[in-house]
Amino acid sequence: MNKPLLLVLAGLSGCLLLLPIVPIDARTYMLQVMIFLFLYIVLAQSYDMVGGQMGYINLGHITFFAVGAYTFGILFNAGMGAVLSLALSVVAAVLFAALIGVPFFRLRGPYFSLATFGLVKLMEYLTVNLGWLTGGSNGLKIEPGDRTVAVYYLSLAVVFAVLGTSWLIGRSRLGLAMKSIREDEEVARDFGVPVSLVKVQALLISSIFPGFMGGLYTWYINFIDTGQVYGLAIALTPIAMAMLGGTGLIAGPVIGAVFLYGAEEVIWTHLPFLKSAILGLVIVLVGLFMPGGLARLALVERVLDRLGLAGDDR
Amino acid sequence: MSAPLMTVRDITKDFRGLRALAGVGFDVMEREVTGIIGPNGAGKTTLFNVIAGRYKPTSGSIAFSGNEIAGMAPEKICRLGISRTYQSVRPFPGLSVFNNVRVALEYGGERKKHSQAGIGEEVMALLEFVHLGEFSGRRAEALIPLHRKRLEIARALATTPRLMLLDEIIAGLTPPETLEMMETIRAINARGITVLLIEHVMKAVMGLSHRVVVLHHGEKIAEGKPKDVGEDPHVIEAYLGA
Repeated sequence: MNKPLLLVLAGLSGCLLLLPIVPIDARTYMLQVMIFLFLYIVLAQSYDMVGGQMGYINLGHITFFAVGAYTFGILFNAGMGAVLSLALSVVAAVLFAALIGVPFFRLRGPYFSLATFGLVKLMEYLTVNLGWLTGGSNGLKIEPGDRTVAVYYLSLAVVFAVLGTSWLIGRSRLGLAMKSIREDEEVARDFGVPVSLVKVQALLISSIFPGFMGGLYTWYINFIDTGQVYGLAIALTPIAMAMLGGTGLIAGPVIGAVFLYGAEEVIWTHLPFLKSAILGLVIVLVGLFMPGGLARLALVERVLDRLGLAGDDR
Repeated sequence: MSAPLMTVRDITKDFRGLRALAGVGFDVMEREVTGIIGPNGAGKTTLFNVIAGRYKPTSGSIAFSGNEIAGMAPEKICRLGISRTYQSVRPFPGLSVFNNVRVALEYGGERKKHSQAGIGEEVMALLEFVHLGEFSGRRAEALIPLHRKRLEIARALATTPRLMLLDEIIAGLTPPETLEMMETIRAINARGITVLLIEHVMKAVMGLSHRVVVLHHGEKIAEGKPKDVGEDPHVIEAYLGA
């Protein structure tokens, strides 16, 4: 790693680490904004492992988050501690990924995407109908508490973990196989890549992070219902962020998350009525005029390159 | 000269009502170059796709160095030692030239304990062999057609195959490029790799092959030394029409 990158990262990390300690006005609000930004970064980045590096657009990525969220709530209410419940949220999400991986990866391209999108609805109905377990349409409450600072630090840690994992995948043998699947799955098979195995492995890795964030989310918000964890907004926003930022590049989903979430906050505070319309317009314009995403814009690319963060999807 | 490395017996392949291959059988001798010729639509590429595992044959068997491979998954066939090139080249377009070869090296051959540095050296050696060393960092989609053909060769070699299937690797090249590619194929064969090639350029097939198999309408109509096959009345009829 080069010097300017280290300085920038160290400075940024320092600020983020100190944020909960500095006495500023509306600190809780600030922390909440940051926690949601971290959540979006984690969701977008983990989505992009499968969506960007492997080229399988998984519109059902949010189900891993939802499974984590409900698992945490159920176990926490059953008297397990937060730590154990969080760990098992991850386990549940990964098991769920293993369960859906084999049948869903028999589909390719748009068929895979449509099926995974249907999975979100399927899981939503399942959750509503398993009322005895999930609270159904009444939602799931846990013992309330203010866990803002803990959740802030844990989310920040997951952000680092997900970025590190993406970086490692990009340089690994597995990552190479994932990219070859993205480029031409048939040829990848002809050259010995065990595509079914690789696809499931990638999905399992990508499910770890949303599973954990789901658990944290329940612990933080104290109450979840199907609208929150299966809603269109939470399901599609991280994917839009990854595409907007530059899919397949490590910096892409982060840039997309910061940009879109920032834009959302600004638009929301200034033009509440036009929020959705303007957000949609932004997405359409970016799609039309910079299909490679923000991270592939010449200007942004130059800055990233200077920092050694340009990334490489070759 | 030697024993057969691959024995193809009675391979039939139907696509719905269409019989693309009808009971094709021949031997591929170890360390030889075997050419497959035949008019368009004769079933040559279908045969390659059956051998490489892309298509399951309707019936028939293919024995490759003691293994029955007919209907086996392509990734397994590749790891047993058969690699291929494509009639219309199919590099991984968005990957670097280097990574195109690296995929085949890391997944296509027997699992070896490679160090990162060792992999890099092997990939570069393969790229140098096909004169693509200077392009290793480029995306494959940025290569000119000739270089894409060379990349196909390097990628197929990277799996350390015992048998290479070359599907019209010479078609479309200029005369000097053709000579160069023929030299490359001879060099590959000189490494001890058995070659099965489909080619329309007669000078190339006849110059390279030890033996030639002729397909017509999905059937084998002749087989033998290039010179004999060239004089076979059935072959002349198939090519010129009766």
